[in-house]
Amino acid sequence: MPPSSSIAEPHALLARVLDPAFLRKLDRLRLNVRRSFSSRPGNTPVPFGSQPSGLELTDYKEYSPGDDPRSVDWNAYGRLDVLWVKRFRAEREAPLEIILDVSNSMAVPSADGKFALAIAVAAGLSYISLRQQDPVRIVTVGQDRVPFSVSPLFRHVGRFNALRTFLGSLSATGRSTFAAGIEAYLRANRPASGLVVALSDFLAPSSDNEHALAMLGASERSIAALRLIGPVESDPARLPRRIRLRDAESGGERMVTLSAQHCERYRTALATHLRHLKDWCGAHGQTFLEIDTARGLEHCFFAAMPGIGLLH
Amino acid sequence: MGFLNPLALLFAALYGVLVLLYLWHRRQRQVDVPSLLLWSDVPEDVARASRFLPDLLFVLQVLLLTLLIGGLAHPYLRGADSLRRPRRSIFVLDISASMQAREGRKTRFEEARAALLGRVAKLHPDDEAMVITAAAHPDVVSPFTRNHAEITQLVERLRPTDTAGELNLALALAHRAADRSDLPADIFAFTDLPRAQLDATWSEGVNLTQVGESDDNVAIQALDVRQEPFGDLRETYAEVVVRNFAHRDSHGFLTLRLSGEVLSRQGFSLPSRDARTFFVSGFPTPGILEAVLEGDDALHADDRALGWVSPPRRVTVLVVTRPSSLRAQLAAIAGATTALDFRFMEPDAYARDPRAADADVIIFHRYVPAVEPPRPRLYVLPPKDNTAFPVRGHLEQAELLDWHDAHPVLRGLPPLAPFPFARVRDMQPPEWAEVLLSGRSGEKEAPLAFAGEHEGSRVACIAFDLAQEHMLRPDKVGVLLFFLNLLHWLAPPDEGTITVRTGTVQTFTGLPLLPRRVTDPNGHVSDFPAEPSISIEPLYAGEYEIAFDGTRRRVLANLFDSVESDIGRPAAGPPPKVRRATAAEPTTASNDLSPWLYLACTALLLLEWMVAARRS
Repeated sequence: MPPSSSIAEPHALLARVLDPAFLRKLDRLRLNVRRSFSSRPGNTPVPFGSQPSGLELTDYKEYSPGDDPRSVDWNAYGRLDVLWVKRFRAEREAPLEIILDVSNSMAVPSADGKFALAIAVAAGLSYISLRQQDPVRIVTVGQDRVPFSVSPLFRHVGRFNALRTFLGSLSATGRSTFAAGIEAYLRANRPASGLVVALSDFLAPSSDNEHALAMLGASERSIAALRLIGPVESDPARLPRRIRLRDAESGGERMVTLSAQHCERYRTALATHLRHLKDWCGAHGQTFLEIDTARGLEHCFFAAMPGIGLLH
Repeated sequence: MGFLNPLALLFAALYGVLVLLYLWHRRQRQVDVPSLLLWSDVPEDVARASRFLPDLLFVLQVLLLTLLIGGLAHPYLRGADSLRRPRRSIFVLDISASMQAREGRKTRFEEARAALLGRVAKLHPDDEAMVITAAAHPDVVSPFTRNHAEITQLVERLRPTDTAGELNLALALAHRAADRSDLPADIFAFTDLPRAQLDATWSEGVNLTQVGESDDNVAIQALDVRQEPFGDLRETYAEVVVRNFAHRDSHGFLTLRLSGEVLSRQGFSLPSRDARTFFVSGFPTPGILEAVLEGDDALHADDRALGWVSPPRRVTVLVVTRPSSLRAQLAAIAGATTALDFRFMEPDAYARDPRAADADVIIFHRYVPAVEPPRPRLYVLPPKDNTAFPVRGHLEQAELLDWHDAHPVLRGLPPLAPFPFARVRDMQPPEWAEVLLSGRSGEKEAPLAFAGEHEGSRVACIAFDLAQEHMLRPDKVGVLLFFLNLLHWLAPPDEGTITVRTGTVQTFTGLPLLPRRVTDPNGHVSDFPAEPSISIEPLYAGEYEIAFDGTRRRVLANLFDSVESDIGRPAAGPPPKVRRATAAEPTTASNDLSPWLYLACTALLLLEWMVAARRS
């Protein structure tokens, strides 16, 4: 699929995710959750605790009454005449929490299609998680009247259509900040274990972004910050020379002349902003990915996200 | 520097439109961005969008507009023109009747006028021009002026006349104006006459523009109403001469109307260059006789002619005479005419009561009263001792020597038979009189008859005795006609309607001192102050009316001119001699900067397109 076709209407891109052929491709992917602190059994290995059954043998312990006899290592008993019980790495449910930025900046410039790709990525990741039998929750931040809103918890793949409908009802028209929404959400809700994927353009002062991501990472969950950016936002040389810039969220204006020097200044500021965000995420154990909307949905799922280890 | 078309500078108003477009375009270029966060390093423009800040593209567009406006205004360098002396152009426009001939969709006049206006448009702004029209006489309609727009308006208002054209006189006037000019002058003539038909003296050096080729014209060449002075309508007839001036056969209809009622309508065919005379008689009433040609020839000005059928009148003549053969002769004449009444009175009776002499004309035969009556009178052989006409002697057997054939009394009269007059008084004609007939006997000459106007009345005197000349004899019919004409002149009919040719000045005298109004055939009205006389020059064929205080006089003007009606023109001759511009007189084109401005405009347009394309 050519990259340019990824920049499309939100519903069109979302419909691409529902394409059976695309879903079959997504079936081969798994979310790579390093750790989960959920108490519900699942398929995600946890760094602490063990369980009598599982995929990964981690330890032996002496048999004590009450242990499951099926977990006794009878080979070892035959050789050592000692009853040892196998212990496996604990596997827990790894809920996926998608923090979706629905502020106005995600819809500007419209040619970039950031919001369309964001809900398509959210839909794709949700599908993968549901296939892994891990629940999914969508948290939208940056809207107008309330700082955040939370979707129902979707637990199995049969609820994917409901999740898709929920995503399809969203629109990027809010004017509050991403960081304020996250802060409000975390104050009001117990942080969930599992994986948190933040889909945003992170167009806020770096300190605000860091504060928001730090709050998300305070619960030692796996955090992935996905920064969406389009070709128009990347390169202002496409814009008219003399323009009045209007902030899509604050309404502020700025008259500029886009000379070559000024365009370079912008690109430098953008690169600095992205690098700073990436470095911070790297320094704090959070995954950062810059998603170019021009490169398309397939590239995002089958190249970019596997490239950073978010999917495998 | 000057501008040949300064009105083009009004397009400078488009600068305002350009600025508005620029501001509107700038205003529209608002771009929404996700955040101004990353734009803080880009310096903000000092001025706000609402203020006007020209960029390269705008400057190019302003320059482009300036070059376009400049090109339209046709600037020229005055510095180069200072070497060029202004010139004068004298335009002579033929407005005679033949210029009304139609050539296709236009008339010759319209073509000539268009050519003249084309010349005016090419004049340098510093050049002066004069316009002379050539019709019955030349007329300077515009003296030398630099106001070319005024000349154009004036020429556009000109109209051709129904008169002959004296182009040689107009060219002579133009040459005189050129010779007197202190600036170099060129003469341009616009006419349908070929150079060969002009006087070489005046056509030399003239830039002649000849228009017209057609020879298709059938014209009424003459309309004569033959009416006896003292006859009645039954004896009146008219002759209409129609001539085909084309070099091919022509056909048409001649319609004759009397006071609007159709008298006759006759079809005709005329071979090329041939003429035919139509007769009409039996007029039931007096009135205006109108002859109209129905056809589709090129010239219509000569397709209509007017004549006047006078109402019959009776003239009473009082003859103061002693019994003589004259009484019998006059009685016989009265018996033969229906309009003459003779009354006779003896001189003694007249002397006793002159106020009883009430007549249109009084004939004093061998008698001169002590007090001359204030009415038309004829003196026949006044006595030797009369005080009115001093007698110098007498002639015996005086032969007719000469006659004044231009005088109305003798106009159209056949020459009197060269018979001697038995006895003639040799009298001194008064200063107010013209000699009508003169005779000679031996070496002595004497006037035989003279006439004139004296103290408001017409007076004539015959120096021989009519009684002795036996007017009724067949060999003396000339004397009879002379006598009748004299009576007719002494008591002319009411000249309320006269017939003239267009272009001839007609003067009316003895009018009451009242303001008068003249209406021409086109309905135009002119008012004149109260004066004893009025002169009008009919420029158009048709009926002119002179009205004052309820009284009306009419002038019926006709175009009877074979030169004007013969509209066929030979092919134009060799190119006329034209004064060549000298090296010291640079032409106007080299000073006009507009071609360079247009060239620069084209280059700038390409540059502007490239800048705009690059920006987009």
